[in-house]
Amino acid sequence: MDQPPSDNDNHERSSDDLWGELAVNAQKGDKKAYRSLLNEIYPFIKASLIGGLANTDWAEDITQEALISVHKSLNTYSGDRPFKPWLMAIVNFRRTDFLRKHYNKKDHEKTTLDNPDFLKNYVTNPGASGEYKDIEKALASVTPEQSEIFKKLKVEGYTAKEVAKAMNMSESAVKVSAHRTMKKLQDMLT
Amino acid sequence: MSNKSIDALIDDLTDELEPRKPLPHPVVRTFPWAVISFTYLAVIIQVSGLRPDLVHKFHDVNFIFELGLSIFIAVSAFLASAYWCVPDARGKKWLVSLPLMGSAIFIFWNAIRFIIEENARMPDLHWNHCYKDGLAMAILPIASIVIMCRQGKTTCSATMMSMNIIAITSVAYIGLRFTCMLDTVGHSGIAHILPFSIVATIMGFATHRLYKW
Repeated sequence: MDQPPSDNDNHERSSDDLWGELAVNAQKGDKKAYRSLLNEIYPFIKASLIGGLANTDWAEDITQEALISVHKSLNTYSGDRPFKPWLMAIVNFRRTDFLRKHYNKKDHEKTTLDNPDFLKNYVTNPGASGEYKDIEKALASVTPEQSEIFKKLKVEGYTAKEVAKAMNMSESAVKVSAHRTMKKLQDMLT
Repeated sequence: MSNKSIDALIDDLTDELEPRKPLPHPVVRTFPWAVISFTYLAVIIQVSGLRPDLVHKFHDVNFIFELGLSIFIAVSAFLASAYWCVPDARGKKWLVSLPLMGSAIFIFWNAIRFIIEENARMPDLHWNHCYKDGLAMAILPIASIVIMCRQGKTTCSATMMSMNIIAITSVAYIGLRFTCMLDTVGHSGIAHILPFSIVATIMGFATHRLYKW
């Protein structure tokens, strides 16, 4: 049996219908309808973008580009089709385009670990190693045996079997110890 | 950006608004392209000369199947292009699967023929009139498909360009089946399809420029 439409469904349907009507009138040159349409979709576009972006300022830029794109492609909207899928296709396109350009611009910041300046500034710089100090401090709070197992397994990259052999323990005991240490570190560092 | 500048943008866009004729339905837009392309193709075929054994070939099941499949690929690729030049593809993004499926069947079928009939031996590469004829057959369909697609605004130019290329390659291939007497897969691959991989590469580089908006 069909569920009766909720208020939210009604709102969705009505805004979509309204925007569709406004877009059709805008295609006929109705400036008032067009202004209403742009004013209505602006907060919708911004709200749809803001949650998925690392920087909230980007939402404003992409919204602006999306509005310009709506303007450019208004003739491609068809009144017999829902408005929101058409709008969201444009918004997603502009978001992808914006992010692609943004991250392409960051290409010049890429470097390799062979770069002596990068190593000096970011890897061996004592000021940049605060987070490692936190981990070392947290590791000091567990027993020396747990700390050693954790370091061998998670930092130095030995397998559980190798650590078990080196420390004369069973493999499962090594895994349990590492898991408990990890849990404890997570609790301390979060 | 402040609300003031968004208001200013909306004011500017509203002031610039002029009546716009909505883009016709993609199926409606496919019709003139098909008429233009196939009429042009018929003219070029007449100029190049029909293959002498054409009447006999219409009794050949392989020939009819290949022709039918090529027409299906050409029309479906154009239809997909017409849909994809609307931002949301009118909810029919799946249409790209039709020419892709047709192309996959074409490749599979020809690969089997190539192995069975020709022992997978490629013919020598040398100048052939099919290169010139094929490119002549494709010029107007290329121009008309690009003009038609530029009327819309695509949100996926790479997919649309792929559909464009499949459509024009298929049109030229259909034309060449009417003018070239060589039915071997090796010849078709080298003289009928290979030139379009060069066209595809050139068009691929031009995609962003052609469909940027």
